Amino acid sequence: MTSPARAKVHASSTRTRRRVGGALISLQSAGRPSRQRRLALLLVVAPFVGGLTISTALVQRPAQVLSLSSNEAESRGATISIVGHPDLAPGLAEVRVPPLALGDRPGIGVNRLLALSPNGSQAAVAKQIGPDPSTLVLARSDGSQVLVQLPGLIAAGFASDGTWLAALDGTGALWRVQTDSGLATRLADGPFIGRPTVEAAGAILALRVSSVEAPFASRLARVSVDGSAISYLTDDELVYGAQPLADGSLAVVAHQASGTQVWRLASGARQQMADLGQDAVNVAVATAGDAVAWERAGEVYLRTLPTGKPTRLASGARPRFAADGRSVLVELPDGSALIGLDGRTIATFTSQAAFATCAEECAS
Amino acid sequence: MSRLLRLCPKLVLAIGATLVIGAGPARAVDDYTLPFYDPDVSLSYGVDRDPRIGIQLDYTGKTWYDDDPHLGRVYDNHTGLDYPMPLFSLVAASKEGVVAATEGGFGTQQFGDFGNFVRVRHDDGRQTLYYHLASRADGGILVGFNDDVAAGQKVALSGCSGRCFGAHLHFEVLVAQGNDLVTSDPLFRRLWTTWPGRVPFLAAYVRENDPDTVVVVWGRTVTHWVEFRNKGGRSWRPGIWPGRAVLGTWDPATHASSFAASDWPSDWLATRVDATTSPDEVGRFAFGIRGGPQPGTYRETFNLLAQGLKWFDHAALGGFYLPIMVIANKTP
Repeated sequence: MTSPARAKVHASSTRTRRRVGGALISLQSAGRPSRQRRLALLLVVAPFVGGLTISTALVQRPAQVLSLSSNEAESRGATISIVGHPDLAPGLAEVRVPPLALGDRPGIGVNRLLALSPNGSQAAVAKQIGPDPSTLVLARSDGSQVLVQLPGLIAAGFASDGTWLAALDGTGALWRVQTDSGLATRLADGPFIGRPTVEAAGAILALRVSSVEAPFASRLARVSVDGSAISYLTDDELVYGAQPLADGSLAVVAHQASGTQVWRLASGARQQMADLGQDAVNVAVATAGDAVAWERAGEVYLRTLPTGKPTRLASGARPRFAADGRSVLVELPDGSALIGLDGRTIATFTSQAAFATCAEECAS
Repeated sequence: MSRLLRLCPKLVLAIGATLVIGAGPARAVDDYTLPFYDPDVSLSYGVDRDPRIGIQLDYTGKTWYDDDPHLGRVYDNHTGLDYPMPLFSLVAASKEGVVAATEGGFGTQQFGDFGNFVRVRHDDGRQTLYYHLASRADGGILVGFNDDVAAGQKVALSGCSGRCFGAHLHFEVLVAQGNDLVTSDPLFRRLWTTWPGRVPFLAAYVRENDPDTVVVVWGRTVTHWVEFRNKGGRSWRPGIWPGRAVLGTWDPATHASSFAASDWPSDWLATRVDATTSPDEVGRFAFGIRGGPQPGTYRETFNLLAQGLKWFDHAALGGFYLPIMVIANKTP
């Protein structure tokens, strides 16, 4: 039986949550209710909140599920809007989340967009990123929501048909969550990190690590759709991520001694696509495999493959390519920006944004 | 006027933990030390030696059948030692070795799955990992791949990159298990100078041959010695090459001294420790004071230096300085 980890805070921190007279006190000794008490409290209180329905999905671990209509979400001030911008880039959508509430810590991931469904009709949003119990909000374009309580929440990725998603909790365990009912099934303990990617056949790609806090090595793992089998696609090196390419191969990003490298992985064979040098992080590869973008020291760089030279694209973080490969979405401190491959800013948003991955075929 | 304005040395950490456990195996000298210089830094969470989720076994041998973090001890499935410290604090190599890997591309406070780190390979087969570091762009990574590092050498600045909920250093000791590196608990093993907790370089003033004003005739030299107790985790050895304990001018550091005598290795480096001085032992530093300047009253400040690596905490030395009076030569 797995239990959620509690948030750990450290003294001398700019983000320390609880300090008394300069001394750190533990969350437990600060009168924090135990997990059991919190669970009981939730079960007692939740049915009376706004007369909402509550159901409990008991699959290995209870996960509370709450369904909200768009009106109910609005009345709670919890509206999440998905605003498409297909005119700017295929599949581009803003996901507008509620403003920070009193006590929320900006920067760590309050109301953080985790993933957009392939057809752009659903967004997975974390009430809070981290090891504390958190709520996965499955927001639909009609304004309705399904809220799923998980023991911490780090990342999520939708299946290609949008009927379920894979999520990683605070301990690194892998969950399968049905998007219509919120039914949550714990698939594997892991621990895993990275954004789980659901392949077309339903298997889940994630990074297996020994430590979720300080991963110095990681292996790309493929977890079967029911969690019963795990196979490894790489050795125990430091793999930063993997993404499917249009030709059916995988682009794998890994840290090597000399820097960050990108390989194409197909039928078990590995072929180097790019050596990005030292300190290239948060690497994205265009679906066609003909360009790569990455972050270094707060700047986003672009390089066409196989022979292009790196060029600075924009300031920002975590670049992602549009499905047509003609633009790149980057995170800004106060929102996001869509950047053309020539470096010009196509649009900026004060909200988080993402690409729906099947935008072209979904639109047709 | 007394010049014994010596400050109380800072407390060495983990006293409480020592009381909990009692005496353990003898501490090996000059093995692993704490990976930072500030002796006031204390452990927030140690290694969970029980791999099962929901069961925590801390370094004292206590088992916790829950999944709550226990400050000062452990949190569930933790693989390293967490030491809270302000952003951009100096991080030191716990032992000499070769840099096996570095990452410095993530923002100093960029939350994510991965963070900045330095990993050092040691000749005993172990490796040490320093995680959540500041970015290389912010000057957070001070070494490169394949660099040799000395024990106690500064290798990085702390940060809060990766999965970090408050600025701290995650320090991990890794041992080879087949082709894998798995975590080990230096606190539980108590084989190293990390138990009960020694920073690499720290000293406390003990005494001098003449605790009052040093009087020297203009143009002549008198011999002076001062003794410090080695409160750090590394032995002091005679010599002036990198890593050795030497006494140099301070405030500002390495300034050319008007009192440099002929026995000084250089115009700022007064002397080195007389003999090998293990942790907790007292080492003597003897050197000449030459009456160089015109007669008058002066003051010369000194500090200990791990040569080429790190100046000691001068306050912990009691702010050591010498009042010097140069008098005229009355000999006809």
